[in-house]
Amino acid sequence: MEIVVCIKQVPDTTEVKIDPVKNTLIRDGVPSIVNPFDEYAMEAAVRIKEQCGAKITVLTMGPPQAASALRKCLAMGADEAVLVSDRAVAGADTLATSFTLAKAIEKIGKPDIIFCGKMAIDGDTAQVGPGIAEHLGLPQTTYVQKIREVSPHRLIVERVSDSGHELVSIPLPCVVTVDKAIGEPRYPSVKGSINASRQEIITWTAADIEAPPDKTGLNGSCTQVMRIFTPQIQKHNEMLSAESDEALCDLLLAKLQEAKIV
Amino acid sequence: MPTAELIVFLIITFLTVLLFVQAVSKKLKFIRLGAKENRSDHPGKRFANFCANVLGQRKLLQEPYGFIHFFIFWGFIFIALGEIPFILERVFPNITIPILGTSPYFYLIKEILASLVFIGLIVGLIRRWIIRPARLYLSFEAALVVILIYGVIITEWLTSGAKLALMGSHPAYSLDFIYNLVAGFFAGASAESLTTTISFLWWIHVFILYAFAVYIPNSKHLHILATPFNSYFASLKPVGGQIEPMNLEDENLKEYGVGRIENFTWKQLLDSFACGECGRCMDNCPANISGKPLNPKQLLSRTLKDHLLEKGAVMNKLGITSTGEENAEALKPYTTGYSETGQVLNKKLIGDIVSREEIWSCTTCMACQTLCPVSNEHVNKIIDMRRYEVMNENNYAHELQLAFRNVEAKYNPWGVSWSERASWAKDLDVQTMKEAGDQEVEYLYWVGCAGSFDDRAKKVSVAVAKILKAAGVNFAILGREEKCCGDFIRRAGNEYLFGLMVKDNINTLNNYKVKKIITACPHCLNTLKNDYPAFGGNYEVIHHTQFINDLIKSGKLTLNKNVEMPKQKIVYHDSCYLGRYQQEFEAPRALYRMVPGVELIEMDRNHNKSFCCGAGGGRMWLEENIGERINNMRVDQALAKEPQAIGANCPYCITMLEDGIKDRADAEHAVPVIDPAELIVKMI
Ligand SMILES: Cc1cc2nc3c(=O)[nH]c(=O)nc-3n(C[C@H](O)[C@H](O)[C@H](O)COP(=O)(O)OP(=O)(O)OC[C@H]3O[C@@H](n4cnc5c(N)ncnc54)[C@H](O)[C@@H]3O)c2cc1C
Ligand code: SF4
Ligand code: SF4
Repeated sequence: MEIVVCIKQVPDTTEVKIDPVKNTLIRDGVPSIVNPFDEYAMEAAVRIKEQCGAKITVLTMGPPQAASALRKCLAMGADEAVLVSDRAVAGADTLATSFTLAKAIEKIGKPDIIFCGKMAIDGDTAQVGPGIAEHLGLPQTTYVQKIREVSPHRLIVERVSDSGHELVSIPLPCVVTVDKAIGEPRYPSVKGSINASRQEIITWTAADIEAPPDKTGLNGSCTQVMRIFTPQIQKHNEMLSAESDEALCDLLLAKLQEAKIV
Repeated sequence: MPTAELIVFLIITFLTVLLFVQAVSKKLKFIRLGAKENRSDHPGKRFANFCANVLGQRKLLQEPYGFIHFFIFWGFIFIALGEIPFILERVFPNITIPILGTSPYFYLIKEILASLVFIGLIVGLIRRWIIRPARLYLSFEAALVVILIYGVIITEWLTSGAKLALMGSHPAYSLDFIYNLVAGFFAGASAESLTTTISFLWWIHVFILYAFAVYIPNSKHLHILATPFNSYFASLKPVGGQIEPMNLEDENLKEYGVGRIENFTWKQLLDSFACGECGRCMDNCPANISGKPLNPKQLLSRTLKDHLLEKGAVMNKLGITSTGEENAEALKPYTTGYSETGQVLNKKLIGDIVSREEIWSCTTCMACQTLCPVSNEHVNKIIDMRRYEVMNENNYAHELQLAFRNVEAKYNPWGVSWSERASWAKDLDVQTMKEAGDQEVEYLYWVGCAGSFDDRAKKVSVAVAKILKAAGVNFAILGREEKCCGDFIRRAGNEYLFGLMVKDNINTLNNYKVKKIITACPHCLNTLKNDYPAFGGNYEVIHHTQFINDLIKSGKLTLNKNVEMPKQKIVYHDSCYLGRYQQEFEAPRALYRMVPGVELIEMDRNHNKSFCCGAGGGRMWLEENIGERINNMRVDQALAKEPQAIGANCPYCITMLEDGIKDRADAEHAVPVIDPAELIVKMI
């Protein structure tokens, strides 16, 4: 079985503090970590590898420093690591990111499962996994909490949704994004870390994965970040109560109109 | 000497030499199984060490009964020298041996020493068999060797005395009071009977001597032969800097640490043979005393040695020099299926020979090494085995893993947010190196993880910072750029993670061109000073108690001696890492003495014999569930002196002692633990 795990290197957001004067985020010197959800994705992959044997390739798109995130995953049990790093792919939004990753996965081969984290703790969109599935035309299942069964052509997984738990049977190849309930990520052994630190990381440019310049990076993005700021959260709570539901709705509507929201 | 006798003499001499050489080379073959290590550099320094420790018996002389060994040692040397004329004069009656055969002073000194050996051995026997200190083994071997030595000494006295009686006088023996005494007994005997007696005694002497020569290399007394070499080859590095770095970039390095006896270096193996089983190490080992399975004497002189002798014999027989992966194929015929050879080869150093509890009990307090008279190096062996467990086998305590994880993610073992590192100094207006920018900064104040995150230790950090400011010292801290120095990580066997921390810290320090470092943590102190140079970090590192003394001496800090201070007896605890590691005993004591109202008192175990608090070598992060708690024992020793406070100079010690006090003393007897800086700060 071939597995690709997409991981993202993110700043340790628990260490990102707000500059009280400038009201901006102090990102200076903040340690970079593997996006925590992606560690869970790695764990899911390694468990399958242990159970039925698999070759795991970790993939990331990012600056050269992201290699350290890949090494951590190698130490956890991945067999190969691929870094897509190129000025042409920088500044990508979720559309361009997932496109680039999809192209890289095509070059890696025909994996049976593509694991992603549920979301990245810095971008928080949770769109990249589903984006990859769309670009590759593969079935997908998201927010997976448990992998019940792995067979050569099918996965049976549990996922959460707004309406409750779902049991999903999904044909392979597919894209799976995972939640923390999947299982605590292992702490890599020291030997694993040392071996990982010696292992070569495959580095590809946009040209290597045949990604056209108009579809990657800033050019390939349909959204752009204009400014990053910390929202001022002001809490004005007001409890509304009325005799009946209708009266309550009217009351709410009036309030909203007053605040020029509707 | 008649030809027939000469032939017999030559034959037994030849046999003795042969047996001696055989026995020694057999032992050498075991030692040569060990890994390579260069211990031949700086011959001058090595020779000086040899002179001080072997010829001068330096460490033994620091002990109450140590002088006995001093005289026994020099007695042996002179007795051995005396054998030269004793034997040669009979074999070649016509030659004169200069000095040894002619100088009355030589004989005088020899006899004074030999008589002292004679008496010393009796005292030694009484100690061993009647007083029986627990650290000395009672053994047949010990008794046998004493009998042989008495045999050698007495027969020599009798023979030479008889010889003197026969000759009437001998210029070389004129001052030899014993020969003269013995000659007195023989006075009146006929020349003929004296000649027969001399001949008879001479042969008895030679037989005993030769038996002794063959017995030594075959017994535990091999230590007599191994010690001089062990001293010469002893590490020249300070005790805190003897851990060898590992080249983790070397692709050929596939097995980390030591998990097979032959992976120890030849010098590490030689240690076992040099051990004289004196027990000084075990008598001062906190692990041993608190009932943990680790006994440093046992480990070297029995556990590792016996295993080497057993496994080494098999390896030498099969002609293999290593039982590593690379030889797995070649070893298969021996290790599969049941065979006695296979059984021996299959024994695991860690697990079958040395227990995991043993290797994790060590607090790296260095009591063993500091006191060992034969320059043995215990701690490295333990760390090498830990390396195997941590790096190779991934088999170590969960709590320790948590501490490693915390360091990896947050750069401190507590796992507190990295960005909070400088929070303790929030209100103190202490600049960081970064803030100082282009300004010259003379001293870096290295705060350490404890000083930054542990609530108790933070108070000491604050006191130190205030003192430095009051003295107008030009200093800065690294703040968020400081990372765990790696002390406990390295000593807990994780050289990989240690390497990551060292690399980052040295980059930061060298980037700011740091040259002088002040720290309040003896563990950081030792690591920065003794571990970092091998990685390219060379700094002058000084403990805050030393630095504050300097400030006061140079007049930069004046103390207000009129402040109201409570009258109190403070009992002082030497931390291992400032005391034994840096041999700094005075600086903290001096500071306490400057404080009005303080009477400084000592515990029974102090200075080099101080008793560890139990936190070193990663023990701080490990559960202690075998035997008694080491910190509680130390607190008992302190409270026995009925102090009003305990003095300490290390954040780990402070934590451990305070925990111990909570455990041991009721509210009435609870006393605080105070760093000297916390008192000095009240006087500025
Ligand atoms: C500081 C900052 C600056 C930004 N600047 C821009 C900008 O200039 N223009 C712009 O359009 N957008 C910008 N972005 C947003 C950027 O588009 C997203 O971070 C990125 O597309 C991934 O989306 P996400 O973080 O929401 O990931 P999610 O969709 O939440 O991530 C889900 C999963 O997808 C996988 N994944 C996500 N990213 C990667 C990756 N790079 N490699 C491999 N796997 C991945 C992981 O498995 C992850 O768990 C910026 C974001 C940040 C935090
Ligand atoms: S370093 Fe201390 S704890 Fe370790 S063996 Fe030596 S005396 Fe015992
Ligand atoms: S190791 Fe050193 S201190 Fe310990 S028993 Fe042997 S000789 Fe004595």
